[in-house]
Amino acid sequence: MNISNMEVYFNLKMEKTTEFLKNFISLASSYMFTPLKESIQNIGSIQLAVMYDRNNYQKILALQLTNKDNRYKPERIFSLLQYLSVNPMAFYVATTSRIVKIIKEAWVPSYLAWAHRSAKKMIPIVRYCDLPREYDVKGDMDVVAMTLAALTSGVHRNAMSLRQVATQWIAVKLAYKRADKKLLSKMLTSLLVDTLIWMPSVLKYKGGVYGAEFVHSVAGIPIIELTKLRGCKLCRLKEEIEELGKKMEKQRYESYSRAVEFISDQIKTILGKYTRNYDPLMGGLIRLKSKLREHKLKGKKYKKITILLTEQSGPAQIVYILENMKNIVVNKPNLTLFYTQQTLWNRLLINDMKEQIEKLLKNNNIQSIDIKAIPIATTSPLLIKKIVTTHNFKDTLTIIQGPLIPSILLALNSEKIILC
Amino acid sequence: MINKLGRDVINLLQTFVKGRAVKIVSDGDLDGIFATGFLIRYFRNIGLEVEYVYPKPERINGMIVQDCILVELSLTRGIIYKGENLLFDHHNGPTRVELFKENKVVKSIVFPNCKSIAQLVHDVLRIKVNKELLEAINDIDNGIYEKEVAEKLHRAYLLNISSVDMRKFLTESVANQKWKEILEWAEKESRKWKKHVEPKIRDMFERTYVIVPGVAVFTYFEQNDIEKAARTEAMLKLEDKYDIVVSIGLDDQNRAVSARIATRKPIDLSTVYKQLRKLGYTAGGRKNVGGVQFNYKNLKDILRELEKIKWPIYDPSVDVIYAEPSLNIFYVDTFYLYPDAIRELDFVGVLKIMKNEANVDHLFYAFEEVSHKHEETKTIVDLTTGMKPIFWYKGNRELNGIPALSNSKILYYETVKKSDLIKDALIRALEIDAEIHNLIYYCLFFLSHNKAKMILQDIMSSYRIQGSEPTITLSNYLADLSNMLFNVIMGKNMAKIPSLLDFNFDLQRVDIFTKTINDLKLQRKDELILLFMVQRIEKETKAYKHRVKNQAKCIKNIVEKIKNQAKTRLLLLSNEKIEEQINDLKKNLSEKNFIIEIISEEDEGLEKFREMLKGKKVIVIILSDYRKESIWKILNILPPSSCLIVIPESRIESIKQQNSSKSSHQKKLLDVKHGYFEGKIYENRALYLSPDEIKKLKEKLGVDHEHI
Repeated sequence: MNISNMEVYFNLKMEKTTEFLKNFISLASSYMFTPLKESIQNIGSIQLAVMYDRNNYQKILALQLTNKDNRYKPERIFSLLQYLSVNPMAFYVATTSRIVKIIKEAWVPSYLAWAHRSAKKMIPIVRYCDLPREYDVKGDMDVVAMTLAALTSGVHRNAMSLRQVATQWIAVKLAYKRADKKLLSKMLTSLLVDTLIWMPSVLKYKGGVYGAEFVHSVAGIPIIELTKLRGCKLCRLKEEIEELGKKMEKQRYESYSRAVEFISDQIKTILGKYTRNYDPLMGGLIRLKSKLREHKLKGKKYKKITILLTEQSGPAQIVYILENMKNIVVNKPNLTLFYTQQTLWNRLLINDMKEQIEKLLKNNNIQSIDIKAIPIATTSPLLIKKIVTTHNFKDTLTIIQGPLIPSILLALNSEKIILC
Repeated sequence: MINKLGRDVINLLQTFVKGRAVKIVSDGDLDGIFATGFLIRYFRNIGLEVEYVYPKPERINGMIVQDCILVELSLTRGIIYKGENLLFDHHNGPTRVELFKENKVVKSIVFPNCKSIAQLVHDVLRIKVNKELLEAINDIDNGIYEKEVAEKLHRAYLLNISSVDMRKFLTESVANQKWKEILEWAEKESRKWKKHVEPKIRDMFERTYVIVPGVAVFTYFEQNDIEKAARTEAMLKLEDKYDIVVSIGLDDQNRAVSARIATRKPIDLSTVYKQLRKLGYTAGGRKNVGGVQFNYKNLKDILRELEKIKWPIYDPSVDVIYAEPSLNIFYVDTFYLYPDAIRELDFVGVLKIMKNEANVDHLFYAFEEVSHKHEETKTIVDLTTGMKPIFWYKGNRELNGIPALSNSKILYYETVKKSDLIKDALIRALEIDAEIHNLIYYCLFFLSHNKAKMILQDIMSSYRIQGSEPTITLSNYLADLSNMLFNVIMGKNMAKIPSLLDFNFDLQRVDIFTKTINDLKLQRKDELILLFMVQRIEKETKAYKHRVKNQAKCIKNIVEKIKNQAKTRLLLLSNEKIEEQINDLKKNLSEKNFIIEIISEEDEGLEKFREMLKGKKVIVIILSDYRKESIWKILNILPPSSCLIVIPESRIESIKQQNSSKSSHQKKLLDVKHGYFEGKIYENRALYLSPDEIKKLKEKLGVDHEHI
């Protein structure tokens, strides 16, 4: 498994490539690109592997894309991914991630410039290293795309946010009866290892700006503390996370909330041995649930739910809120998302995942949701006041979380509030 | 005037028919048929039976006529005049009736422009007619098919275009004034349209190709009436897309028989006919539509010749309809901590490009002026961030190190002129808020088309508010700006250009602390508690010291404003997570000779804290943020005379003073206010909750958050 300094994390093979590429490119580019179906429909299959070069703190996404006629010619997709990996506007940007394509014809002149530029030395390693047995991905393409985007994103605030949203979504989906538990557990384990081991290592190495940026994100403290781990402690943490993966695969979950609680408890138990007893990935959801439970909201059925989005808001948070409020919310609720510049991508992701959210909530008597979104500023009381006071809060339950000034103004103007 | 001219025509006509067996030879289009019908009617009224004929288009060239009344068959059509002939025409010149001797005009009566030749004949001969039908003929002859009758009649005609019977039926119906029958026939025939013609139109679209930019060509089979019908419709649709459209009619051996050339742009096609005539073909027509006879030549040869023709070009007009000076784009991730602009663009704007009233396009553009030698770094930022193409203006400056860039002088000056109009108002407006303004441009530059659309729609739908106060004007401006840019990316017509010209009022600048003193009715004898809650800063970060210093500076500023207004006690709230930071902050303040008490949330306990605040006047000041749970708890136990202030640590603000020696359009409009505030603090910079608002919030917290 470990050749040179390269550690291959997983090796996936998938046929439903259009859905994967659409989701992956949208997310990894921070919605800079939303590929058209026509531009990706010729891809026949994708084989990919994620690898870590521990000595250089590099992370590699190795891809093999074949066209439907079995020819290796998806040059544009590679060019796009290469571009994203250096573009500071994309999630994907990472001084630490590189794109490698596994092609046998690397010596062909047309590939030569690229090979010199990017990954000439990597190719033999990729080709000869002992890849774990490939796993055939049949469904859950949204999860695979989100996980891959999170795993290959760099060390910055939004990347942490993407990891949190992805982890929470996998945890929720694990409880879905048609889910591929083996795949989802693998994805979740990868994200945990990446966030709790790779990220602190890079953080320690990079320090400075990265460190400062991280502490401002919600998950800062435990991650910073994990940077102090070294040697055998790190290995033990990794083994424990991988053990957790196997456990998750076998576990039966009664509800989405139970799945989140179980996994979060497990993470807390493992982390408790090394750092503060706090789960940086799903802790936000658990806190939200305790707030939802505090409220004895009986009788009235609310038609509308208004949520002030945070950087951890994603499809899982919506499913989680609606599952825990099923008794007081009508079956076709209107969802109003107040979002700020910092939660722009969260708003777009929730919109993209609307169908998935509805699919998961069908058993909870939620038939469909109507999403409306309102952007607001974080620091302009006068403008926020105007927008909030013109919004109709009748029959609305408002969940207040996130930035302080909008939170207070929403609390002041809403009909019914839940403070988180 | 027409009466006199009309009498002249009747005299000419009567003289012409006297003593000879005349024949009417007419163009076979609807205009020609109706004009012929009117003439027949006139002659029957005066007791003459006149023969009429509609020669096939391919037979017109070289056809010899003598003693004929010719309708729309001028010499340019290749016809040969012998002896005397009388021509009614409105092509290739004014509307006219001309008497020819051989090919020389011996008498000419010219009319003011008539919509059709049928209209002219009807007017001079005063024939009774169904007005709706005549209007339809006029419209059809001018390529207008908006009215139902015109559309149906035109389609019925096209479906039977080769039919001799159709022409005979229509001529006789006009001559016998059977208008109802004509309308019924049009109705019946046009029903076949959808089934037979529309698929053919789609085929023709697929067959269309561009021979030179702006000129599209397609072919059809001349002998097939359905193809012929589809041809006209296809041409009309293609004229929306291309400047000039040419449809070439083929025979069954794929040889070019004839072609129609048409345009809806203000282009004069006469030069095209002239060039075609020079090549040996018979060509002619009006400025906007005409025809050419190719006489069964090989299609490939014809296409090669068409490619060589110098086609007239229509120059569209370009206008700067909106421009904004100095746009800073901030990355959303780092926006509210220590933001730095990704890129400052000197101008952004929208261009209106107009071909004609019906064909308008809009373009969003960014403009950059090379202002110093180091501009090449900007081009690197643009490349790595994927900024959309930017126009450059280099003036007299050197562009060493920058890859070849444009120098769009005229566009630059137009942009500067336009943006100067909005500049002052924009500075005032962005003082209220710059974040949503940034969001609009962030989306445009860095989000995919459909995602940008979504965000712009969000702003359009939620920022349109009724009212006229400054914040509402800004809000509506943001909605209009989003709407305009949405229309640009959707390629839609522009309904409204955003304007801030009404934004000519200054914000009411009431210092929050003056307001606080008034709201609390603060007197010197009052006991006032200033309770500070500060945002946690992680000690291991480099910015820690600097940020704690900023917090101390802010506390000092506030205390100095308030301390002499009452008996003031300063409290600094602490909890287990920020204990160290609070101690550092206290130390920092004591260096400035400020004594502040630290109270811990845990030690004091909620009830004890309530007791401490009882009967006092309280100002809670939150620097940026604090643990939310603690904020809700504190709010719940505040006494009635309390107010709350939240001051953000940094924000994007517009620069008010323009005192640089540079020319005004080169300066930045936005900058980042690092730290908290200096001097006075206004309501647009910090959140202020009055005692009444605190009361309202407490009621909500009490009811909705009873478990705290």
